[in-house]
Amino acid sequence: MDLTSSRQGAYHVITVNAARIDAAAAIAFKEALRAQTAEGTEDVLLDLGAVEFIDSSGLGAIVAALKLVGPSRRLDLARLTPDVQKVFRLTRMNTIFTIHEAIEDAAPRRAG
Amino acid sequence: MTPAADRAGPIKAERPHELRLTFLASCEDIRHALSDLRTFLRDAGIDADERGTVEIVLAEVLNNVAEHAYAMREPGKVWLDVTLEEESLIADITDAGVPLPGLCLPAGRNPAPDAAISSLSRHDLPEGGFGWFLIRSLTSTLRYRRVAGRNHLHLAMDLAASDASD
Repeated sequence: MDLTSSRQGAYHVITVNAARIDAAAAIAFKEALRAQTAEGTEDVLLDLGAVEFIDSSGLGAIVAALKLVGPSRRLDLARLTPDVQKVFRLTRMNTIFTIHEAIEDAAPRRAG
Repeated sequence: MTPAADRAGPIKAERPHELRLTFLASCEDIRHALSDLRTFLRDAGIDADERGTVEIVLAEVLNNVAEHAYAMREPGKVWLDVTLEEESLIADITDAGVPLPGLCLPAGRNPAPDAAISSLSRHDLPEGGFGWFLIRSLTSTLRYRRVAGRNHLHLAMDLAASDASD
């Protein structure tokens, strides 16, 4: 899966360049994200602005991503589109992740 | 003389308010079927919010067919029949895979219930089990029957108030 890395403050921003994180894409998404985050120690901001649809496999992969960055790093989400927002809200996983409306809105809990 | 159009010819696969698809329960074919579904719903004037809700439900149903009913074999056939009524959508999904365990629908509880979710450590968060929960949350009718070696799932969704959350 095509992911792009960039910086926003202290965040490592990972932008998902795909319209769907579904059953067909979930494993590739998880693997690509693991590769992008394995080296660093920064908090991660997952930019989902291009993602129009996720299913439960995609949701599971995002939860798995939260685990694989490790307990000491944040994994926040940004720019959820309406159908993606709906899946997070229905499953209450919106209470687990910090969700930002825009990349610029995101700020780490502590500077540094 | 009216031409052939008047004859009771072979049943056309698509009518304005009915979508009938037959495809293999593979990830790629399911994507195509969901894409056809979105086009059908758009053409029928269903709004974007409701189209998204319908797609979530049918994606979960079809993924279950691929991952469970046909899990041990080559992807088998799925028959999807979607009918739009005044204020609801009816879908019938048929496959020839293995039956649901115990011949009944899973309870579909939220794997991360409200009371518990905030107390779970990151490590203990559920990564699966959301599928039937989403299906149950978003449908008004859900019935399962096993007949002559086939699974038949029948569901209805209220289009006027499809978003049951909040």
